[in-house]
Amino acid sequence: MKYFAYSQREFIYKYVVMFSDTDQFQHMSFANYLKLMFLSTDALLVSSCDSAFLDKYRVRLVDSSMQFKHQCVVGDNVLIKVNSTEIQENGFTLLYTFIIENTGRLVGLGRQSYVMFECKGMNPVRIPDQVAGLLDPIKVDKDNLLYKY
Amino acid sequence: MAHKIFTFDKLQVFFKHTDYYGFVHPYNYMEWSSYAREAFFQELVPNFHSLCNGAIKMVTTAVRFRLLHEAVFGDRIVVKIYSENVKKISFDVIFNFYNLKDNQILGCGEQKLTFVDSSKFRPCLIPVDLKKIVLEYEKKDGLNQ
Repeated sequence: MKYFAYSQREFIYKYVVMFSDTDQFQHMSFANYLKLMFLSTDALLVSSCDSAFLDKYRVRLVDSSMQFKHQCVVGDNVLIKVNSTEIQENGFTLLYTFIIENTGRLVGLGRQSYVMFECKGMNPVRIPDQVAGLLDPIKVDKDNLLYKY
Repeated sequence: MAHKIFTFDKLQVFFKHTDYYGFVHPYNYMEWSSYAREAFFQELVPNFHSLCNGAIKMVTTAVRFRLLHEAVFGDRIVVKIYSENVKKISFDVIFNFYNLKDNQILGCGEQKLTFVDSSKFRPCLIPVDLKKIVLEYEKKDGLNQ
């Protein structure tokens, strides 16, 4: 029998659920979880997105999905773990694992596919090196993960 | 018989909805889909308010959205809704977003809604009055508009 292990690196974005995130049912509304996916994507990419980059490239969403497993309430510390997968010449997918920090409880599983566009011509372009440099360290094989995103 | 489609046409793009490039940020479609579905239930399910205040809760268990074209400041957005996969405790709501100026489809999305009895923390049947409406708007296989 063979045993193996590998360490999985991820980008982590932390968010504390506020009153303004919750509705009359005392839970965070579903759209806010999706907003957190965009926020954590921005946090991942922001270090490479200076004005020169933004004037040249555009990271465009293609597809977004999320499964909800547990509802968050005010004060929950939510960790959003971000991994990259299916990195291709001009597109990539990000996987998001939402977890409550102090209990480890799974809140949700998200997935977003993006394509790199040139800003003006609206044609897909090769992923710039500075973005590839952010995606590679957190790359995973989606077929070898605990969850299906 | 073809299924019904509910239309929600009270959306307009303001600056707050736009991104660095002047296009509508895709997040807005997720938020607008929640407005559209709530308008759908509020307008068509006679006792929706009392249902909301009871023990049975409607929980969003999965969502999906696909961005197809861009909208910009000033555009008016129309959302068309119908249902699919109506089961005992859940159903899917399908959303199609259109730009009113040229009727171009902007994106499509779906949500799975599941019903839970919050007093027992268990899944429960879709409330009868709500299910009656949802069935009228259900698209069955092979029955396209």
